[in-house]
Amino acid sequence: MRVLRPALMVLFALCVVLPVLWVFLSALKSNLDILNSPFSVTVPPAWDNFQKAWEKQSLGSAFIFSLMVTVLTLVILIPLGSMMAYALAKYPFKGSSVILGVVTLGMLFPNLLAAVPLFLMMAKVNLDDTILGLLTAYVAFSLSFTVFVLHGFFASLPNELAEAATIDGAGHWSLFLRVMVPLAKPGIWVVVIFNAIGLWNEYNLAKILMLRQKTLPVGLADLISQQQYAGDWGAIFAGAVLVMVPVLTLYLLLKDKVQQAMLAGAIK
Amino acid sequence: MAGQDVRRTGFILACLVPGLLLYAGLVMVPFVQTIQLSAYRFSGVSTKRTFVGLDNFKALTQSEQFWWALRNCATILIVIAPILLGLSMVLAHAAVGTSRLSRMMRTIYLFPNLISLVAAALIWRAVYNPSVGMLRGLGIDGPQNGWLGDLGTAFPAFAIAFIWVSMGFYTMLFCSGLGGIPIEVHEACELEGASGWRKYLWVTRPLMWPVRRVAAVHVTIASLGVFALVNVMTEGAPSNRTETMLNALYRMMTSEGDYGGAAAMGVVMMALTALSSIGLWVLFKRNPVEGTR
Repeated sequence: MRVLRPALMVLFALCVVLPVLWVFLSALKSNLDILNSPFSVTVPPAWDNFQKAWEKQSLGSAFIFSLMVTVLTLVILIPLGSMMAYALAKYPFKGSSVILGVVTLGMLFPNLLAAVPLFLMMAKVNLDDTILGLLTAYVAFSLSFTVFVLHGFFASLPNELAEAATIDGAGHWSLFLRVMVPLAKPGIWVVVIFNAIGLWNEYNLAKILMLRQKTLPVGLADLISQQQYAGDWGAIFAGAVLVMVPVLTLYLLLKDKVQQAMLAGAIK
Repeated sequence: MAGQDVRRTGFILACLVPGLLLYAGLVMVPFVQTIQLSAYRFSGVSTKRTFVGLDNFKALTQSEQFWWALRNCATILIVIAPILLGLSMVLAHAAVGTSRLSRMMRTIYLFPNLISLVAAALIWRAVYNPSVGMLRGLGIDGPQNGWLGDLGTAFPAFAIAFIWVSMGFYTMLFCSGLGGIPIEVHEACELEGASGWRKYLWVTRPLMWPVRRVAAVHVTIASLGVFALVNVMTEGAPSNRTETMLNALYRMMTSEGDYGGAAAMGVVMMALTALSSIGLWVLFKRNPVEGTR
């Protein structure tokens, strides 16, 4: 038993790490070496895989586009979601719990179930294949989780604080912005990190709504599906590294916060 | 007082209206429209819509793709998901605790859950690939068309990738549940001589009820909603052996240009999601530990 537990732990860790490491290793190999010997190392490393992925396969512009979309979505989503969650948590009125229920119901159904009408709607107002269309869709579909988690955080803040601040003459907005938001900071961290990772990796909506300007996951996916005809494995592996590195860097920097964020929808 | 009420109402409206409009317009309305559009035949934005009643559903039941999608999603939910949760529970028992090793291992476990599903799909596509594959490099030769190209091995090969992607999340979830069991409970078990399976079945499992319920909800949504992983790894091939409901919906909408059929597929999936939610509600109706939530 004493040996079994660590052995089991390490075994699964290897199952997780080895394929990932192998992709990183392969991203630095020439196509010839990738095809001939899966575990060899190319000396010197084939850095041009990244150049090919970035320029020739236009994953560079996809990388920048994804970064823009992620940041801009967060800039709109976080204030909007905080306001909704706060009003629903601290200003209860007839029907406020129904609203909360309807908003969180969105977490139950995959976004692709709305794909057909969403696409038609975007096309009708000429927002398909535009960054504005993608942004609005991202904000709307991210509200469920964001409001659900932040509602929990705002609801747990003591009402006495609000009463004290109101007696001191603070209005609703300054109470919200100067007192409540700073107190809900741990919750805001959670939704920022969870959404940042989710938006960076988002595939479904980008695949449906964007045709010309692709996000990084969609660009990589298209590269992979072309590969069966003309294989440039080196560039594909490099593309996968480009997708993974920002998230893994964030994870290494903010390990505890990321872990908390990923479990936040499940544990309250 | 009236002025205060007005200001209060104004504040609530200002907070709620923009977000609710966006949510209603882009999430709720499309979900409902999916139901409506499933009764029409049309193939795009500008094409004419013909009302066809239930014909799209009839067409679905006559397509092999649909039955494979249904069958595969059911298999994921009924066979693969319990395996996934079982393995995660075992691993959580090994990895729970605050030692340096367990904390380091848990950090690693979450990796696959954080990276893009496209990257995960690529990783497994490359692992299984018959010409560059990692398995081939390890001397494990698969079927002639590769693990993902063979009618018999494609689905199990996909299932392994599915488990790989999500196991870390459920392990972390169960670890947090196990960590939340008060130390007194463990001490009492030791005094009473309960250990191993007996302790798990009679003490740990009932106490883990809230966490198991959350895991069941998550795994149900994830099982029915498999898309990116399959879309990038196999596109449902070979011969629909790895087809899923959402991949079928996507394919009908894009390459087949059958928007009404795609909407009908969506309606079927909505119904199944609602149905399994009711199933979960029945399964987890009552907390076996009285007095706790």
